[in-house]
Amino acid sequence: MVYSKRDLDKTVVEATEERFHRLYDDFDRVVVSFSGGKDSTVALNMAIRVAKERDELPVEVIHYDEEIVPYDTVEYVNRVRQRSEVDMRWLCWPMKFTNGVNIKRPKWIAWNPEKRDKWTREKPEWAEQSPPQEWTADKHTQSNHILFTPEGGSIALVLGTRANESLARYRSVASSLVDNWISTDPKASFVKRVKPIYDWAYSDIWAATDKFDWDYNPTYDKLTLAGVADSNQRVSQPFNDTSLRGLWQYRKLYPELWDDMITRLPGSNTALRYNDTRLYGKNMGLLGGDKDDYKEAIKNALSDFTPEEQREIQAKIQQQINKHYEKTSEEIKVDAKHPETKVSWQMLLKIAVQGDRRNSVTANI
Amino acid sequence: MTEHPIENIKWRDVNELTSSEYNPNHVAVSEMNLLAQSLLEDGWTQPIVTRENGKIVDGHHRFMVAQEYPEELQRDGCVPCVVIENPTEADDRISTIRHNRASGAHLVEGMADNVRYLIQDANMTNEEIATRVGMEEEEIKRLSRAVDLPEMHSDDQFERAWKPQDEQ
Repeated sequence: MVYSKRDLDKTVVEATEERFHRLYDDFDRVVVSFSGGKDSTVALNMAIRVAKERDELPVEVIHYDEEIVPYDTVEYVNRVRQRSEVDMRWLCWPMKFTNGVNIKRPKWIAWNPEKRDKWTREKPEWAEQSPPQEWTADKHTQSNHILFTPEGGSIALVLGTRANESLARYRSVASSLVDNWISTDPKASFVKRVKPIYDWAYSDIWAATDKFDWDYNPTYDKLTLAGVADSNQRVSQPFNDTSLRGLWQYRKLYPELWDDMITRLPGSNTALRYNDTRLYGKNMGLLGGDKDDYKEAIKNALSDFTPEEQREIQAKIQQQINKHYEKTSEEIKVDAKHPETKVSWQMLLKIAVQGDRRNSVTANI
Repeated sequence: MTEHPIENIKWRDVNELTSSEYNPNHVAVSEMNLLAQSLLEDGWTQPIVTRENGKIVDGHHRFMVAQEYPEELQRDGCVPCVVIENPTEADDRISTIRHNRASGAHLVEGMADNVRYLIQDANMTNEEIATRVGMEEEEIKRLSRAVDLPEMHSDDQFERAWKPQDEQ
């Protein structure tokens, strides 16, 4: 169940201050997860405002350094690290991410120890260089049970998530009537993931940054200059299948990093050139096509693969179709993803074009 | 390479030249206009690259502009060419692609600097820049403003906080 909104008769700033007071009342530790982006900038600075008032400074911060990061972000995070109100853990640990630019290597690992000669940067000397033994590169965002131990008491892990960003994020803070912005970490019961700025609008972010004179990441000014719409301004790395369209921003704003990215993740240049074409499952020339057109296109796409690969990909497509009809009896639509199963004929065609990425893992890069 | 094709520029009859059907480079109308502008203002600064038989390897669009402006860009019905002799059509196609692709992207900030220079230091109007550089008014406006996001939102009122409620 997703609920509608009730006006709380106060500004987002006032409400967020109250939320942070509650966190400092209820939890032994308040830790801000800080990416260097605009939203976590607000979350951190609101935490500092309240902690200062309560005389509970410094604010604990964790920062995952994802290796392929523009210098503007690195320098900004480092300025934040040096603030006396902040106690930051800067983690340069191997982290696995989706790699949409290389058919043979669907994942890449930031700070992969085996690819040291290809890293786009050196690890900063102040960073934590090596992870604890139980750390795996997989799903680092779900590894809070490794980052923290229960001995330190209960932890509120502050995230800069905002409902406005997407329907999924709205759902994540609007499906519970009580403490809608607090949820338990799936892997560590002593950690709550909290979203105290969930109701902030885009304009609130910058209005607050102006009003309270906060430092911020200049990447956003540059993205605005380059004509990137508010809702597409991201500082996270761009190698997901859905974020490849942002590659040009690196090419045009951070050319030195781009030169290194091409070497680090071969295929980046090809993705830059063709990410909005049929090579990446986009604009297949099927606009207005029906189910049969898509079936035909899937058949054509499959013919590019070896018989063995074809069987694997077909199995994967069939698996998606089965999964869909297990959950719903509604027919699969051409281009609208089903809200629950996320399946559409366009999506199935994309699998056929891209191959079975999940099983094509060779060596990690 | 001991001798470069550029050392031997030949003015060839436009009727001898033919375009190559495989060229994937598409030049939009606005870019064609700019190319014409460039040729008309600066004159020929680089020749068309052809085979001995007249097939164009690079410079197809400059050739098209020259056909439109015979008075200004042709000399006795001729345009400046250099000849490269590739052994096969495969080599021709490769030469064409290389000529097209070996070009850079314009960095946003560098371009913004240039536009600001033209406006502030060279006192050019937006219109003059639009025509001579081949930019839309929109591009000039975007590039010439200094972006400061907090400043841009300094008059915004904070939105009201909300929480989920049951629909009654």
